[in-house]
Amino acid sequence: MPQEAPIVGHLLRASAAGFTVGTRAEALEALNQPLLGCLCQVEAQGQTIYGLIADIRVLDDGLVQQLVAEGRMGSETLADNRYNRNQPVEISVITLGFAQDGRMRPRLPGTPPLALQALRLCTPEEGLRFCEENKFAYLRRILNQTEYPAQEMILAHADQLQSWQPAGNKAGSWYPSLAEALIRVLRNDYERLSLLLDALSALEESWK
Amino acid sequence: MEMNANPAIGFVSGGGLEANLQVRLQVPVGEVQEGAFVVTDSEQWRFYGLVTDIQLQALDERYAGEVSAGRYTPALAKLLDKATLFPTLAVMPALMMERGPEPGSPEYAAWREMNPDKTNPMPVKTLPQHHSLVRLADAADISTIFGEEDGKNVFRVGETREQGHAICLRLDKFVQRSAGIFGTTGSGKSFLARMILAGLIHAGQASTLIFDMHNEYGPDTTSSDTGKGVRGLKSGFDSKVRLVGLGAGTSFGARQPDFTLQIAHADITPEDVLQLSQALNLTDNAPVVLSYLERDFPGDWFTKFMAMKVGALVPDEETGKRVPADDSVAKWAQSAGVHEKSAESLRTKLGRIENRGYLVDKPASSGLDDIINNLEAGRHVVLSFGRFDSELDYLLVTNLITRKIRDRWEWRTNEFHKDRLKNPEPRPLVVVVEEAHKLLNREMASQTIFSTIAREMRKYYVTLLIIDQRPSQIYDEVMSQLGTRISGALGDEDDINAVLSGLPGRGSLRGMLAKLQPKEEVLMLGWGVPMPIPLRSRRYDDKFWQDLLGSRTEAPASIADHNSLLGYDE
Repeated sequence: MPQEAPIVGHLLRASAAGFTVGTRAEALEALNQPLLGCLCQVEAQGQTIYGLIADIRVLDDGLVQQLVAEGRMGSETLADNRYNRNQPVEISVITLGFAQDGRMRPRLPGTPPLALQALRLCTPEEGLRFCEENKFAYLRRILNQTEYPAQEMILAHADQLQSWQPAGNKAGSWYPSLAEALIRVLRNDYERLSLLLDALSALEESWK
Repeated sequence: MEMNANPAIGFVSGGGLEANLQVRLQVPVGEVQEGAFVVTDSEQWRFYGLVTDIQLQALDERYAGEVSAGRYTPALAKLLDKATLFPTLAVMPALMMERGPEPGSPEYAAWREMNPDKTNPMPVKTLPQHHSLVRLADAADISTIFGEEDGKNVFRVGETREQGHAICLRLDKFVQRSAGIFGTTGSGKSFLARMILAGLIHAGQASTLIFDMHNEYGPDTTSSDTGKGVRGLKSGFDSKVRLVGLGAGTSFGARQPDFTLQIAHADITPEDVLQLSQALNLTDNAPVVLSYLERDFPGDWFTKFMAMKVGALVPDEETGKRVPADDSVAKWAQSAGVHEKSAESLRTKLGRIENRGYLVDKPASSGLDDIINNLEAGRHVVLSFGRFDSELDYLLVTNLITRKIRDRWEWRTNEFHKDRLKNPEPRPLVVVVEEAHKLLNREMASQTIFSTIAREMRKYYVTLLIIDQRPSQIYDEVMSQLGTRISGALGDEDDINAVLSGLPGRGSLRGMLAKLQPKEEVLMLGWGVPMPIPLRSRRYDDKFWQDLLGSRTEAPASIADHNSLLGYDE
């Protein structure tokens, strides 16, 4: 695992299908990048489990509710509540696959990662390798999500992959494979595929 | 069996024996044409089929209903179209052949030991499995089915349209049953007929008698399209082909006939006359009158009858009343007990043929016998009608000659069956009839000898080759007897249906026949060919003759050159 991969947070709870990590607000600010749709990874019993950030939640507590109700939101109060509160920001990750013995596998791991394990963002090399070796077969898992906004995750994921391209490059070589995989999964759902391709076309145009 | 080396064009995705195979195409649709000959290997079988339809399909009609390139980026549009829009082929499975296990495998050796002889194609009885790969047939596949040109019996008719592989016709099988060549005017059916006749003459499979209404087959002619000289069968085969002119003075352009045909009045039988019933508008009593004429004047009834006068009266010596003269039709009718008016009507109507130039009392030569003798000797006869080109002449002469041929070949066949060692097997004879609908239409078929030949004469070694542009006008019963059918472009739906009548898979073949190119493309089908096949017909030109005969023929540059070579100066 590359050492420079930044840590996003630590595991709160997990299952084979996905997990939730907690982090501090200033840690998110330090990452300085949108996280939705980002590829990330966590170590677990000899495996590296890969996932996609599906949701980020800032939860309330009694104090926040009280502050909002009273309207007392001075700068000190805001800073204190953001940086010193006991409730972490929760980041939900859906599992896409795992690597074991050097091979990428687009299916759920045999065991979930354990609590407090560090969740890291993937480096470009690692992320692209995961995508291309799996031929984007994991997209089906994203598209089958009902709890999270699948289309937005796909678009964000594509945008992250493109951000790894050298500046000024058009869509990377991964792009046809991603599009082909999307079409293959959704071709029997004309309406959903049409909407997704509309959005993907607009995204592709934005890369030029 | 050798592996077909062509790349796969698609795979079997469904279908049935009745409904044709459905093949998902994996190459651009423009690479395959309707009528393409395809093969599919599945388990121990190789299947041979014909593409009868090409369809553009979509996973969802909405994908086809919107131009994706106008909505998405080019990269996405291309991928989407590839995944959702696809062509399919309808393939009519026609034949299958056991190919055994994969060559080189241990199973193959065992199979070959159990099947030492070459396996033969058979009508399709089962189907290839789903996802069996489909390939365009290669030259080896086509020669397996249609044979390999041997310069004699296996005659190259043309080539496949896509890849130009030779398509051959087995002439020995071709002459075993009646056949037809069809096509609209200008579709090249006369050239095709000449080409096949040249192949037949060269192969020596049969004698041919050609009723040449338009002087196209025997002598050299000029192509109306190109203005170039076109070699006739006489130039190609010289003494093997006898040119016969009907009546004295009939010639083949600048070329004189080998002999002329004059028909003796005594050769005309009541049967010949009855076969002209419609043309002469004979009454219902005509058969009775004719039978009494033959009874009273055996062997000479026509001359005697035509010498009788209609309406001739003389005064009765006793009563003074006017009564039929001794040389009148009425007098004979009274004595024979025949209805006078019917006899007079027949006599009047027979006047139409009495003075035809080729009908004489005593012919200068025995033209009829010469024709038959030449045919029996293995030569070929082209009969030109010259100036006698009316329908009545055509009906009378063709019927009369063919009736005599039928009698002779029946006799020969019976003799052969009586004693095979002593009597030779009759030589197969093909009677070539142009403008066949004039003789074989619904009304005439019952009156002419040709429907009998089509129906029954196969066992007496006589078959028809009918050439026509309106097959729908030919009597159904005759059409159904045709073994091999070769058709060029046909515009009329009825004609297309007629060509396909009685054949399996005609629904699939109809579209193929309707879409043939106006020239040089034909569909060959029927009993005489293993499976239907559209093809680009071979050109009837100098190269054809050189290929057929070798270097000994070299077509002259023009008709005039040719005549000059033969000593005929214009």
